[in-house]
Amino acid sequence: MHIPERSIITAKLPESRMKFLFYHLQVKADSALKTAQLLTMHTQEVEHVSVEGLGAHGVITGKIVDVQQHPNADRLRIVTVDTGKDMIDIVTGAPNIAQNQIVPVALPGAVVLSIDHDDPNAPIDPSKTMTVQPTTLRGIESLGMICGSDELGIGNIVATGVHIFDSNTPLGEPVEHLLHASVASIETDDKGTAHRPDLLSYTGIEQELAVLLHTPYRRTEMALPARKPSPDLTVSIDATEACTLFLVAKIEAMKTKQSPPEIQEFLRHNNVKVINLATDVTNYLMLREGALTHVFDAAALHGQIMTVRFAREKEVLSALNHQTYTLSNRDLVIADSKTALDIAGIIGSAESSVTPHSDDIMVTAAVFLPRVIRATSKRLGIRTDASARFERGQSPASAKRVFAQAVEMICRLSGGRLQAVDYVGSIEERIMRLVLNVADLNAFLGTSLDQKTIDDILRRLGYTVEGTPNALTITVPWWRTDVTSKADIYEDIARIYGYNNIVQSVPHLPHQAISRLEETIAALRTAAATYLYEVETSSMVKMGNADSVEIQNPIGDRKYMRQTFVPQLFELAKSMVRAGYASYGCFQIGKAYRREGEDLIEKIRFGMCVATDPDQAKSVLGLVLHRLHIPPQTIRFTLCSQSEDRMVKYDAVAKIYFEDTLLGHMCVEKFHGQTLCAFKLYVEKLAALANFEPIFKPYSVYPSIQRDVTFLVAQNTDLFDMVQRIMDASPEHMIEQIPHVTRYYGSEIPSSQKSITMTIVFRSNQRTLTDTEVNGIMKTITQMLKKDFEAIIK
Amino acid sequence: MISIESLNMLMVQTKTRIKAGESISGLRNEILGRQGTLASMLKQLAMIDPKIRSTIGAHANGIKRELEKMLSESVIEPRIDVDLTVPIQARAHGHEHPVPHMIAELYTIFGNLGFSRFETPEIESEEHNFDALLVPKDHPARDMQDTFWTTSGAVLRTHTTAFQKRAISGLKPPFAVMQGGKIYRAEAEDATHLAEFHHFDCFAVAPGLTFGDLRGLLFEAMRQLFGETTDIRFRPAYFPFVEPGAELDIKCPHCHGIGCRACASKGWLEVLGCGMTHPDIFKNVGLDPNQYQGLAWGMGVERLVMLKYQINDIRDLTKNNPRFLEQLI
Repeated sequence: MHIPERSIITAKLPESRMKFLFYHLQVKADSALKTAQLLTMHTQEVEHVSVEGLGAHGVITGKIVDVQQHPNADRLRIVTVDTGKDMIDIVTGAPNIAQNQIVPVALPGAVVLSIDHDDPNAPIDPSKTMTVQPTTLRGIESLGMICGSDELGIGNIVATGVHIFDSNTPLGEPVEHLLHASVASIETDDKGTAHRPDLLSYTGIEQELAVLLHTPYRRTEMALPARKPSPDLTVSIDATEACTLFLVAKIEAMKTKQSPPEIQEFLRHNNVKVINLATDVTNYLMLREGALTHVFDAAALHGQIMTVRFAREKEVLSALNHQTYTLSNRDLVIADSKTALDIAGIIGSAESSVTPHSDDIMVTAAVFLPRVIRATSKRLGIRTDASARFERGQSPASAKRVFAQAVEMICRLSGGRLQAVDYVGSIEERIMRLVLNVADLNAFLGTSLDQKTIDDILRRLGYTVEGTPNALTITVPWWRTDVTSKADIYEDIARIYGYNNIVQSVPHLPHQAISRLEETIAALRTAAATYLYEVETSSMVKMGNADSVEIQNPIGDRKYMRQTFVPQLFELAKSMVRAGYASYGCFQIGKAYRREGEDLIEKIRFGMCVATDPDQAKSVLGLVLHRLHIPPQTIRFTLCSQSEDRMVKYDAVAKIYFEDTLLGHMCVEKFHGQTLCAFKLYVEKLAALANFEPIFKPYSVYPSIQRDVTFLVAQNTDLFDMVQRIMDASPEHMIEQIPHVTRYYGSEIPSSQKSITMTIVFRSNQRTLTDTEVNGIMKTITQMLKKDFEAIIK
Repeated sequence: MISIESLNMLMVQTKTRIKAGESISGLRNEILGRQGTLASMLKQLAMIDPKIRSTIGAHANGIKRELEKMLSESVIEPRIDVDLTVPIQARAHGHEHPVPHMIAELYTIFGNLGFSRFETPEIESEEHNFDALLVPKDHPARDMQDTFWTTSGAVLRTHTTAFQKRAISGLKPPFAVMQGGKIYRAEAEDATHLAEFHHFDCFAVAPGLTFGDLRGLLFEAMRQLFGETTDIRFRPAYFPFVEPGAELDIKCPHCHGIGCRACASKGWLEVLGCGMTHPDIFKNVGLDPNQYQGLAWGMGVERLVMLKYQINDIRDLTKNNPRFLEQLI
C-alpha cells in the first residue's frame, strides 16, 4: 500500500499572497524540518514549517490482540491492544480494524487533532487538538483511542480509515518515526520563485529535494498526442502576437464524472475544492506540474471552433467566480465562433464550465504572452492560481507536456474517448546549450571543484553534460527556463555544493581618500548632536511652487519634493515645545530638491531649529561651526526681505554670509511666547570653508586686557560692519577678539536707536600691553564710533 | 581634672556629635586645635599625681590618635558656601538619530574594507533604477502602486542599487564604491513599512573577484557590525542583477539560534541581499564579463537599526521623539 505522504509545502505567491500547498514529498514526518532546512540553504527560503502529523504527539503503535462487540452499541467494539508494555482495553468505532493489525494508539495524555466527524469534507486544521482522557462509552471504560488518519492529521477518515502498519512494525514506537512526513506547510517568500516558475510545483520541489538528498528522481513525461483531425474541431489563433501555441483536444462520452479518491485527497490537502473529474485533473496538474490546462463543456460551445483572440470592446463575460467582467480589445480570450469562453490564462466563463452532467469536453493548453495576462489580471483585479503562473510564463515545452498528461488522465479516469486533437502555433522547444570551462568556474566562485563533482551536481539537476574540463557542453533541461547564461549554471553549482562551503577570502580593494564633503557631514553631525536632537523628516511635502519636483502618485497631499526642510523643523520644534520640551533643539542633514528646466537638482542641507532667542541660537550654530574650524565671528547676518522666501512667511529672516559667500538663511518665529530660530546652511559651501588639516600656530604668551564699551547707535546699524571697523581701528592688530556684542532692550531707549555693549579683548604677540596703551586705542575706537557711526558713547 | 574617665567621655561625646552631623572641621578645631579641649586637658597632666601621670598620659595619647583618625576620615567641609551634593542638573542637549548613525557606522566599516563613497541622486531615471539592473519592463515593481514617479517621468529611486550603472559607466574599473541614502516605495505605512527609508549598497568591480571574496568581505563586515562572535550564513536568493544571488542571515543575537520572537522562531535573522554581478550588467556597458567580476550587496538601514535595538515598530524611527532617541546609540 502506498502510504499517504503528508507534507504540504505552502509557497506564498508574491503579489497575490495565495497559499500554494504540497503534500507529496517523500520525507518522514520527523525530518520535515531538515527538509525545510535543505530547501532554505540550497533552493529557496522556507518561511514557515508546520507538520500536521506532528500536531498529534505521543501516539504509539499497538497490536490488536482481541476484538469484542460492545454489548450496548452496534457500531462500537471493544479491542484489547498490546502496546509492547501493557495490554489495554479501548472502545472504538473504527470500521476497518481486525485482530493482529498494528494500529496507531493514543493513550491518556497523548494529543491528537480534534476532528468534526459530522463533516468528512472539512479541511484538517492542525491547530485544533485535544488531549486523550480515559472515558466511559455506553457503560464500558475505554483507556485510550485508536486514531483515525484524520486524528493524526495524515488523511481523511472516509478515504483511508485507521492507518494500518506493516505486520513487522515494532510495538510502542512513536508513529512519527514510521509514517511518511505528515503535512508540512512550508512558506517561501516571493523572491525565491520570481525567476523559477518550475518551483511552483511539486515536481520542481521534489526534484530539488532529490538532488539534495541524493535520491533518484524521474519526472512524469508524456509525448504530445498526434493530431487527430475531425470536422467537430477547428482550432485557430487570431491574436498571434499574444498567443504562440494553442492546443485543443475533444474528449467524448465520459462515463466517470468523479475524480478518484487519491486526487480528491490531494486537492483537499492543497485547499482546492473538489469539483468534477476533468476540472480536478486540471487543478491536480497545475499543482503537480506547475503547468496549466483548461477544460470546457463541449455542449456549451457555439459551433466547433476554438480560437484565441482579443476581446471585442465592451465584450462581457460572466465568470466562474459569479462576477461579470467587461473586457476591452487588449484582453485576450479563448472563444468559440460566437462568444468568449475564458479570459485567457485567468478565469473561465460560468456557462462553458464543465459540470457533473458534461459528457463531452474540450481540453486546452496554450502559450500566452505573460505581459498581456498580467495587464488584464491587473486591470480587472482578478488573481487566480492560473494567472499567477501564466504571468511567470508557460513554455511550449511545458504546455505540450501538461496537455498530453491532461488528455491521457481524463480519458483513462473517465473512460471517455479521444475524439479530436488539433493545435496551431509553434511546438518547437528552445534547447539551451552552454559551454563551460571548469577553471573559469573555479576562478569565479573561488573554489577548486573537480569535473566529477560538477558533472554530478548538474546531472542530478537534470542537465546533460558532455566534453572536457576546458569545454563542457551543458544542455539545460526544458523546465529550467531561467537558465540563460554561464552565471546561472555557476549559481546552480554553488548553491547545491553549498554557498557556505565556499572558502572565504578578503580581496584588496582600491580605496580612495575620504572627501571633504563626507568629513564635513560627519563633523556637523558629531558637533550638532551634542546640543541638538538629530531628526529624520519626510522628503515629500504639501507646499511647492513652479521649481518644485512634483510626484505623479503622491501619498495624500504631500505631492512635492521639499526645497527646504526648515518648515518641517519648525513644525517639529513647535510640537516638542507644546509637549513640554522647553528648550528643544533639533537638526537634520538631508537633501533639498529643485527643478531647473529639465534638470533635477539635489543639494545637501544642514538644518537646525532651536527654541531659544536668536543670540543663544546663534551661539549653538557657532559651536557647530567651530568644529569645522570656521571661526564663528567671521559669519555675517544681514536682513533679507520676506519676498525672497517664497513659500513660507517667517517673523524675521536673515541671510548668512562668510565674506561674499551666501551660506544659508536664518529664520525666526514666535510660538506661544517662545522664540524659535531655524538655520539652513548649504553643506557643500561649508565643506569648501571647513579646515580639516589645521596647522598649529604659536599663540601669544602675554596677558590680555579686556574693555567694555556701551553706546547708542542708529537702529539700522549693521553690527557686523561695526565690529570689523573696530578690529581695524587698532594699530598693529592689538584686538584679539570681540567675543560679546549684546543689545539692551529697554523702554528708555529711543525707538530710532539701539543700545549696544561690546566686550573687546586686547592682546599683543610681542609684549605685555599697558593700561595706558589700551586706553589710547579705546580712545581711537570711540572717536571712530562717534565720527563714522554717530554713536553716543556712555 | 584630667582622668581616664574624662578622656573616655570626650571620645564618646565626639562620636555622638559626628553622628549628629556637626561640622567635622569645626569639631577638629574645637577638640584637636591648639587651644582645643584636648590640649587644655593635657595641660592639667602637670598638676596630677606623678604616680599615675604616666598611665593617664599614655591613655591620653591613645585617645588623641583615635580622635585624629576619627576627625580626618570624615569629609572635608567646603571652605566656601557651595553644596556639592546637588545632583547633576538637566541641560539642553541633543542626541544622534540611529538611522544616520548606522549609515555612518556602515561607511566606516566598509570604508575600512576598501570601499569609497559614491554619491548619486535620489530622483533617478527609470533606466538607472530598473533597466540597468535588468528588472523586466513589465515587472510589478515598476507599477504606480510600488514606485513614486515624478511628473517629468523620473522615479524616486526604490533602492540605492540604482547607483550601479552610474558607477560602472562613470568610474574606470577596478573600483569599490558604497552609498547609504534615502529610498522610496509607494507603500502604505505600517509597523514594518515606510514610504521613505534608507538603503546601504556596496559595489566592487575588478578582475578576479570571487564568490569567496563576497563571503569574506561580508563576514568581516558582519563581525564588525554585530560583534566578533557573530555567525553568518548565505542562502540562495534571487535578484535580477546578481547571479549567483544570495541572502545573508546572522544567527539571532537574542536567542543564539534557538528561536525566539525576534527571529520568528527561525534562529536566524535576514540582514541583506548580495551576489556576483550579472554578466549582462557588464555587457550593457561594453565591458567583457569574462574579464571583470563584480560583487554587490544592499541592506535596509532601518532593518539593521531595528535588529540592533530590538525595535518592533519602524514608525518609531520617524517620530523623532527625544524619549525614543535618547535610549539609542
